[in-house]
Amino acid sequence: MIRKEVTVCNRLGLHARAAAKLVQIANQFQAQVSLTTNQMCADAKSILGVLTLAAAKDTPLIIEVDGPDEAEALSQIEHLIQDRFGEGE
Amino acid sequence: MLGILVVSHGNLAQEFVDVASRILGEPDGGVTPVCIPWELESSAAKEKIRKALKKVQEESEGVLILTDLFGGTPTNLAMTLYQPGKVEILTGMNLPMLIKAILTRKAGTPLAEAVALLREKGQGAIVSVSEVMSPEGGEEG
Repeated sequence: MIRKEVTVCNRLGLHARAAAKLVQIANQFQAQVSLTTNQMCADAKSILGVLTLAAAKDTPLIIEVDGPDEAEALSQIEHLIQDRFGEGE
Repeated sequence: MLGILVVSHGNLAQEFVDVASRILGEPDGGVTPVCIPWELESSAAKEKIRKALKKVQEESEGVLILTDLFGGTPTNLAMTLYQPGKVEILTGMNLPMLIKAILTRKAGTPLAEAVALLREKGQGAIVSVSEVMSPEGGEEG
């Protein structure tokens, strides 16, 4: 199992379309992926779960990945968040 | 794979489907909105739902009808087309429920299982912000 803390850096935070992109990536991997804020934890493969995190801009997020393809999964999810979900701001 | 029919008063069904497609990034051909205009006479409205249902049934294994309001005309008309195990109806749809329905359809979940899951998820997605914002925090959804 590997884990990494990242910060939500896009202006709109982990909103619906951003969450959908993240869940889509998480579902491409066998590994289990969870996202944890200081208040709650969600399965990164469930869009409704990810949305309940209500993670606004600057929220620290711990990504935990467990499974055979965990390194690539973590890398892609981390890249998506740091790339501001492709939103440019 | 199950088919989904979204039936509503006014243009709500179309808007629900458009918004869910926008969030999920692409439209899903297995999801059909059926809008019942206010002025449409009920026999014509029923025919509109029946035709849409027939088309979806030809392309699907089981159909889930999501409607906006229990007791409203669109739901009442849809209920006349109910076929246990083949055409199931969930009323009081919300956006989380529809998004989950589309994902459930794509996952190939059978109809009976989908109905139970979507009822639970649709209800669970109703959140009082004051509970989430309280110092104790919320539970995982």
